[in-house]
Amino acid sequence: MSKRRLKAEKGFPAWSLSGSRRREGLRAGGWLRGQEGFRKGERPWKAARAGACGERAAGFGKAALFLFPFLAWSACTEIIEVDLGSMDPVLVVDARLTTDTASHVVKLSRSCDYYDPDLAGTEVCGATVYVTETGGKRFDFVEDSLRAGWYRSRPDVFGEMGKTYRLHIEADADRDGEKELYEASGTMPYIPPIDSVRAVYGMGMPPFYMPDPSRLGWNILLYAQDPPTHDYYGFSFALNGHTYYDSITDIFCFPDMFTSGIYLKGVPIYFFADSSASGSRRVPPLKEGDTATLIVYSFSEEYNRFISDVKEAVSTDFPVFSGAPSNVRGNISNGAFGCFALYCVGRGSCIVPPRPSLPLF
Amino acid sequence: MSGIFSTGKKFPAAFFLLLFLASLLPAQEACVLSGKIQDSHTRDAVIGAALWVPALGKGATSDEDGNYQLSLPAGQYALEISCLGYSPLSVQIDLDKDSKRDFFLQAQALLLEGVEVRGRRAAYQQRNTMGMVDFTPQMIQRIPALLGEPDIIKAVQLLPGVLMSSETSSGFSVRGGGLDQNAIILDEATLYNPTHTCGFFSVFNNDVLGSASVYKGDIPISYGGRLASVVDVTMKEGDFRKYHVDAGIGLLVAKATVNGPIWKDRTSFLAAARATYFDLFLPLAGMRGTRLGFYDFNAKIVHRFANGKDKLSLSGYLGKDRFGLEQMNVGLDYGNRMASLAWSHLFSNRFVMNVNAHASDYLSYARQNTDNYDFIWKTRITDYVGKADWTFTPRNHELRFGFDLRYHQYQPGDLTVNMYEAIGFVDSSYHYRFNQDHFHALESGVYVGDNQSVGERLQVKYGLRFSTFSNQGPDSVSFFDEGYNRTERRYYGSRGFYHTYWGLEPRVGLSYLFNHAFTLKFNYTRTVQYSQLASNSSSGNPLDIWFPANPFVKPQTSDMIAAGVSKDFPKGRWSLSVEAYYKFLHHVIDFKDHSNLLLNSDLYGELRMGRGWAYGVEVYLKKEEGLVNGSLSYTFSRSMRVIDQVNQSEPYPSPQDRPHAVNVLLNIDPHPRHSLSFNWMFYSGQPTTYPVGKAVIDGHFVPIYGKRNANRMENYHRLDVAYTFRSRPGNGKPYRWSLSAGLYNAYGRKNPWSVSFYQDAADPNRSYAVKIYLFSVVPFVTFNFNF
Repeated sequence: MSKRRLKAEKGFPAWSLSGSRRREGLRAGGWLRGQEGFRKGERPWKAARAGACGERAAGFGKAALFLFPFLAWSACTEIIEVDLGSMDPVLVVDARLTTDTASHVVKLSRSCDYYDPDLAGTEVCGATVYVTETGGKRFDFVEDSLRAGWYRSRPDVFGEMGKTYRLHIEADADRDGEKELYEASGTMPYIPPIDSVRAVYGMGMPPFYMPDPSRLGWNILLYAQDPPTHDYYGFSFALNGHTYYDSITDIFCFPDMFTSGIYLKGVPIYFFADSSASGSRRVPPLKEGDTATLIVYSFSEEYNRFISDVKEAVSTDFPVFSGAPSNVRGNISNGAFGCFALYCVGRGSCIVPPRPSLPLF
Repeated sequence: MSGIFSTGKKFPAAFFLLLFLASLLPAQEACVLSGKIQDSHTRDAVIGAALWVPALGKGATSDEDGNYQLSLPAGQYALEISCLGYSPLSVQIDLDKDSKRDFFLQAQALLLEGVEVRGRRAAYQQRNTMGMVDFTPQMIQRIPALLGEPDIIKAVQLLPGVLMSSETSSGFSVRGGGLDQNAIILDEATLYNPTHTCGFFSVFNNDVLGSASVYKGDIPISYGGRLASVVDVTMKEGDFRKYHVDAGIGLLVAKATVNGPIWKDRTSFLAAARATYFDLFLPLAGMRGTRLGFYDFNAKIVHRFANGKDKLSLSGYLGKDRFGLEQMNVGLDYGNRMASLAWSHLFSNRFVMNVNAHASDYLSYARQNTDNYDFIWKTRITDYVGKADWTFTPRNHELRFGFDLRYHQYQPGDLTVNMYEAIGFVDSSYHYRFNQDHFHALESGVYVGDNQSVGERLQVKYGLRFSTFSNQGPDSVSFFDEGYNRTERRYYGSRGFYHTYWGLEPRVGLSYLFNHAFTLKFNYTRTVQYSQLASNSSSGNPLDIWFPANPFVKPQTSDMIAAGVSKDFPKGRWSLSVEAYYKFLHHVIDFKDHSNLLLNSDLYGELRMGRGWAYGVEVYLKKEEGLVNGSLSYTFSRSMRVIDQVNQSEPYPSPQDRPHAVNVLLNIDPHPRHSLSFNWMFYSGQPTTYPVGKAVIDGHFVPIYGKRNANRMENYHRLDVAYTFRSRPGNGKPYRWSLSAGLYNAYGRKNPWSVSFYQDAADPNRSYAVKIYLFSVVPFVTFNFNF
C-alpha cells in the first residue's frame, strides 16, 4: 500500500486506492444473512426514515422532493454487495466552541474503512489541543480519562461574539509515531435576542407544517427580530431540561434569506402532533406545566456549510437532484476531516399552558 | 480572377477553385432530370425515395420536399424508383435535354419482401456523410418502446455511438458528448428540453412525424451551435386531397391526429393532440390529489402556390408537463413551445431557396399557492430566429450557402415569495424576490460549402461555417482568477453588445466507392457551442438551466476526426459498417463540488473549466428486408475529462463513459398481419463515485469519497419484446387498426439507477450499500386506428 503525502489544502483527504479489500470480518453475505436487521435483497426502508426531524412536512426546500411522487412510488431498493477501496486514515475533528459557559469538547478520531464495524481503535489519544482567542487568551483542552479521544476545556470557558478563535491540534493520526499539526480559525458570529417563545395548541402552521384539522398538537412559536444580515440559524428543542434534535443531522436549519430584516411574530418552529405514527415520536407528549425551551443557534458560515454537507451525505432521501458525490467541506488544515465549529446559543422558554377545549386555529 | 492564381499565399483558395471549375467542365453532354416524387394517393412528398439507373450505376434520392435531381448523359434508360413502404416503379426515359418529370408511387400498408432498395442504398453511400441515418415513421413504429409509445429519441438511442443517459431521461450522449450537445430540431426550431414526464416519453408524436435525420458528429455546415449531434425532425404535411384520422390509445396515453385539405391540391392542414390520462386512476392507487402527466399539440398548414415554385408552411407545437400535489397546492410545470414559418422557392430546377423564421420557448416553473404564502420559481429560455439557405446543384455538385441569426433570451432562475398576514407571523404582506441575471445574446452563422462528385467513385465535401456570439447588456459579469476566486464584477449598462466571440468551423470529408459496394469514408468536423446546460444531476430534469458563454466562459469547441468503411451485400440486403473517431473537446465545463445552481446570484462562479477527449469504434450490421430483419450494433468508446479543481485536477471518466455498448434489434414478420420485435441492449455500468472510508461524526457515518467516477455500477442490460397484430391489408375497408402488446424489461433485470451507502438503523456500527432501481417488468398495450 503506497502512502501519499498528506495534502496541505483544507478539506482534501489523502487517499490512495490500494485496490478493493474484503470487508474485514464480514465474509460474503456473512453478517447480512442470519443477522437481525436486513438480508441482502431486502428493502430496508421501514425503519430508516423513522424519527426524521420533528413532524415537519414540506416546506420551501422540501417542496421539490414531493414533486416527483411517481418516481418515489415506482422506485424500489435492494441491498447489494459492493467492494470498496480504502484510504490512509486521516484525522477527524469535531471541535465546538459556543457562547455557553461550559466545558467544551473537542473529539478527535481517525477515519476508517467504510464497512469496518469496529470503531474501538479509531479514537486519537495523547494529542495536544488548545484554542487561542484574539487578545491572547488560551483555553487548553485536556484529554478525558474516561472517554478516549475526547478533550475537554475547563467549565468556565465561553466564546464571545465577534472574536476570532484559532484551534491548534497536534495529533498522530497516521500512527507513525510523530504528531502532525492541524489548525483552524474562525470568527464567532452574532445572535439576536429571543423576545419570547409560546406554546400554542392547534393545527400545524405554515410555512413548515401543513394545516390539517385532523392532526392537532402543540406549536412552539418564536418571537424575535431577524436581523437584516445574512445569517445561519438553527434550532433544537428541550423539554424539562432534556434536549432533542440537537444532533448534527437533526438540527432544524432555518432558511434565513426569506425573512432577513423582518420581525417574526410567532413563527412556528416545531409542531408536535398528539397522534403520530408509532415509532416516529421522539419527544414525549407535552403536558400542562412542562417547560418547553426553544434553543436557537447562530452558526459561522463554515460550520453551517459543514452541517448541510453532512446532512446531504447521510441523507436517505431520494436522490433526484444529486450530482456527483463530493466530500464534506471542513475548515481544518493539513488534510483533516471535520470542522472547528463556532456558534452562538440562545434560549427561550415558556411553560406549557393547559390544553384548551377548542383549538385556537 | 487572375490575381488568385498568381500569389502563393492564396494557394488553398486556388486549389479548391480549380477543383470546382474542373468538375464543371462536362466530359460529355449531360442533362438534368428533375422533378418530384409524390404519393399517388395523398399527393404527399415522398422523402428519401431512391432513383436508380442500372445501366449507368447512378442514382439519387428525393429530399424533404420530394424533389430529386439526376445528372445523366443524353440517351434512353430504364429508371427504377423505389422507397420503403411503396411499390417500386419502373419507367423508360428518353433524355435529350434537361427535363422535368414527376412520379407517383403507390403506398403499401406493410413492408414486404422483395422491395427493391438497391438503388436507395447506393445513393445513400454517395451521400458522403458519415454516421447519418434517416428515419421514417414506419421504422420508429417497429421499435418496442417503453409503455408502447413509439419514440424517435428511443430509436436514436439504438444507433451505435449513441448512449442513453439514464432510464428516466430522454437525454442521450453521442460519441462521448454531453447531454446538452445534441441539437433537437422540430421544423427548424430548436427544442431545449425534448422530454415529457422526466423522459418516459418524448415530445415527438410519431403520428405527426414526416422524416427525421440524425447526424452523429459529421454535422453539415448548415447546422451550428451544438457539438455532438443533430436530430432534425420535420412534421409531415397534411394530405392535399382526402381527410384522414389517426387515433390511438395506450396504457397511459391517448392521441388523435387529423389531416386533410383546406383547399384541394393547394392547402392542407395537420393537427394532433396527445395527453396522458392515467392520473385519473391514481386515486385508486391511494395517491389522491396528485396531478401527473402531459399534453401536447402539433399543427401544420401548408400552402402550395399555383406557379408550382413556391410553398409556404406554418407549423406550431405546444407541450406541457404537470406534476402536482393538490393537498399541498404545489406544482411543477414545464413545457416547450414553438411556431415556425417556412417558405421554399424554386428559382429553377437546380436552385432552391429555403427561408425560415421561428420562435421557440422553454419554460419551467415550480410553485405553491396557499392562503398564507405563495412562491414561484421559474427558468426560461427563448429564441427568435431567422434563417435562409440556398442550394444550387449544377452538374456533379451540391453547393449550399446560407446564414442564420438567433436572438437568445436566457432566464436562469427567478424566485418570488409572498407571505401574507394570514400566515400569522408577519405584520403585513411581505415579498421576497430573487432574480438571477437575465442574459441576452445574438448568435449568427454564415456558411458555404460544396458536396462534389469527382469521377464515378470519389465524392468530396468541403465547407466552412463562420459563427459569432455577441452578449448584449445590460449585464454584470464576474471575472475570476486561476483559483476561481472572484476578482471583479464588471457592469455593462447600455443595451449594446459588449462582447463577441467568433469561430471558424471547417468541415471536410471524402468518400470513395470501391468495387463490390465497398466504401471508404473520412471526415473532419469542427463545431462550436455557445449555450450550455447547467444540470444538477447526470440525467436531465426539468430544473435544468441554460446559460450563455460570456467574457469569462469561453464557448466549447470540438474537433473530431473520423474514418470508416462500409460494405453492402446485395444478397439478403445486408450492410456492414465500421467507424472510428477521435474527438478533442476544449473549454469543457463542469461544476465545482457542492455547486448551487438554483438560487445563486453568480451562477458563473460555480463553473470549472477544462478539456476532454473521446474516442471509439462503432460496428453496425444491418439487414433491411426479409422474414427476419433488424440490426446489431456494438460500440467501444471512452470519454474522459480533466477539469480544474475537480478530482484534484486529474483526468476522470465523464458520466458518459460506458466502454461497451451493444444493441440488437430483431424484427420477425411471419405474416402480413403479425409481427414480433425484440430489442436487447447492454451497456457497461454507469461511472460513479464510491466512498473509500468514513468519518464518524455525532455517531453518524459520513462517507469519504474516492476519485470521481472511478467505480462503476452494475452493467445495464434489458430485453424489450413487442407483438403487433393488425387488420387485414387490402380488405377494402377505409380504415386500418393495429394492436400492440409487449414487455419492457422482459426478464425483469433490476438495473441500478443509483447506489447509496447507509448506516444500518438497527445496528449503527454497520453499514451497507443500497441500489435504487426503477423498473422491473413493465407491460404495455396500445391500440391504434387509422382512417
